[in-house]
Amino acid sequence: MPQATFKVYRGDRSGGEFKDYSADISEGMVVLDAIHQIQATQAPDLACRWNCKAGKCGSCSAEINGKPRLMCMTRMETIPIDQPVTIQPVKTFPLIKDLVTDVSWNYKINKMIPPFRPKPPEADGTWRMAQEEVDRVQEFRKCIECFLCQDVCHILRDHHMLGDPEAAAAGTATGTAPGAETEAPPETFGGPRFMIRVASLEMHPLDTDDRLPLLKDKLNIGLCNITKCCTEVCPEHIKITDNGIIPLKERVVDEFYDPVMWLWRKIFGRKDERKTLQQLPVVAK
Amino acid sequence: MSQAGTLDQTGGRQSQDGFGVTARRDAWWVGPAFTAIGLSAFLIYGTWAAWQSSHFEIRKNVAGKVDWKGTQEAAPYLSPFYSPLIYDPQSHHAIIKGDLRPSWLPGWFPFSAAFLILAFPGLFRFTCYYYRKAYYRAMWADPPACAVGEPRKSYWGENRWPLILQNSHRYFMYFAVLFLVILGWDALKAFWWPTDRAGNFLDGGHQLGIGLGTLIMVANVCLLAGFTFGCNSFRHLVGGRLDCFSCPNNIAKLRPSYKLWRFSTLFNENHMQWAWLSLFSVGFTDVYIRMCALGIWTDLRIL
Ligand code: SF4
Ligand code: SF4
Ligand code: FES
Ligand code: FES
Repeated sequence: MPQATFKVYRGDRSGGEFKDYSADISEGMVVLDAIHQIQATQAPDLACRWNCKAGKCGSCSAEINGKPRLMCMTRMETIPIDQPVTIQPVKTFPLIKDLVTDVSWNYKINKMIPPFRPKPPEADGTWRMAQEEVDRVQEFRKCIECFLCQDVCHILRDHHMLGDPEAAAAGTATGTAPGAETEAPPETFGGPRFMIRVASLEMHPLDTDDRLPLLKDKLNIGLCNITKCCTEVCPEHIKITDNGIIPLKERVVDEFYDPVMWLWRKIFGRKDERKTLQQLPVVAK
Repeated sequence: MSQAGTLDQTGGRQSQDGFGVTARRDAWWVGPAFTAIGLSAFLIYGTWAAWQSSHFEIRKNVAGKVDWKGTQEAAPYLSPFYSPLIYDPQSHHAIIKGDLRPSWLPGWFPFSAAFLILAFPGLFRFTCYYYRKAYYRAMWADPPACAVGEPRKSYWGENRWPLILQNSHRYFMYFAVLFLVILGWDALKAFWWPTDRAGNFLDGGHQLGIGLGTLIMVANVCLLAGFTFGCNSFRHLVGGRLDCFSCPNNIAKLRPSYKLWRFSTLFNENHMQWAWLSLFSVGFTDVYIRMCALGIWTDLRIL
């Protein structure tokens, strides 16, 4: 049975290092199996998060040989084992222990996004959508919140624009991220996962809310330079940039940057539902 | 490439890896390197060709030899770098028959009919969402590749001057559609020959014909159309901007914008491939016509 060496990051916020472990590689094995084997045989205190082993819960995100991947969906036969395989936690978020990071910043960003606000039902009390319209937003709902896209996005990963969303929402961004040597407070970039969440709501045929100001000023969509790493790593193969971010950027241009569109609206007025906003009690937060 | 040992996860706000630092093992730099080479090659050739002010169509002299100084047009071709041809003293493609080059301009100063128009297709590509990705990665290393360290600490994205101007892409798309019509018309005219199959002049008359150049010009327009129809701004304009394709009708009757949006999506899915193929075809169409006009290649008359 072939053996592979794994260099696994061990440590917490106070520091850490890579430690070598070995695992027997058998047919059909995935990286998460190897980690479990290491836990069972050599490092019972190795911390890692997982749940479904089916690529559906989004908990087992890590960086395998430097690439953000789901450990449970990365087959050992796709990785060369003539050299040690490095496994490290996602870089962008603060480490808790070993392979487990604190991704709670993402949930704060999520709270900034106003939920679905449907238009009034038709006369018979129902809402109707065409299948084609549903298909379009369905893609974004495949997201499993693994946050691999957030991890790889260079704005968050290298430029640390993980500002305090609550302060940003209140327009009083003074907070510093934990552990930062105090400089200017980091700007906030919502990140690709939340761009597509906004897309799923903004492109919804029944939704009436307007999240474009939020997108432009609070989630800072203009920071994205569409270099598409998010799309490259998404395990659900969501076309985050082409179908989500770029169409949203175009909408932001319509609304805030295009003088011709602005003039058009001045002369002919708005045709969409945004002038008849209506909050319905059916959809709770 | 340096190893993963640089990892610093001790704080909430993480360290920044140095330029090129990554734990990736694959040859991540190959893609950006090819992109940089391809884009630079096109830019250099394109600038040179636009500077020439010559050999954008095939001319013959009275002796029937290929000669730029000749007065007769030997094939109905026009290089895409010079279309629409704003001015030329003798070409019948020219909108203004004459020389617009200001006489006081020093000889070395770049000025040609091509320079008067190339800003439009040039900026269309420069502001294209795909090319932005390509050159931000390959030329500006922002990022050089996914999960690879960057050379600079500061970052403004497209939120500030000057990159906020990338938001003007749609305006260049409008011009690109216009150019598509113009180049399409050029390609149609490339079937209308001033010579017979043997190459004899028809004394001002014309006949239908096809040369290898005709096919190249048609292929070029098709590739440019594929690129333009897949443009993200085009896709937004024709339908993507709508949330509800069934409004104000019922769900059984979608607006025509839905079909248009789907049509654009077909091309949009491979926008990168269309971008490169059409970039190559524009360059090659010029090369082909230029080589024939220089007498180095001989155009093949097929029909
Ligand atoms: S395309 Fe935009 S959101 Fe996606 S990884 Fe790149 S910068 Fe981040
Ligand atoms: S968009 Fe894709 S990569 Fe990002 S969190 Fe969702 S599933 Fe993961
Ligand atoms: S364990 Fe659920 S996605 Fe990997
Ligand atoms: S997005 Fe590429 S041409 Fe418009």
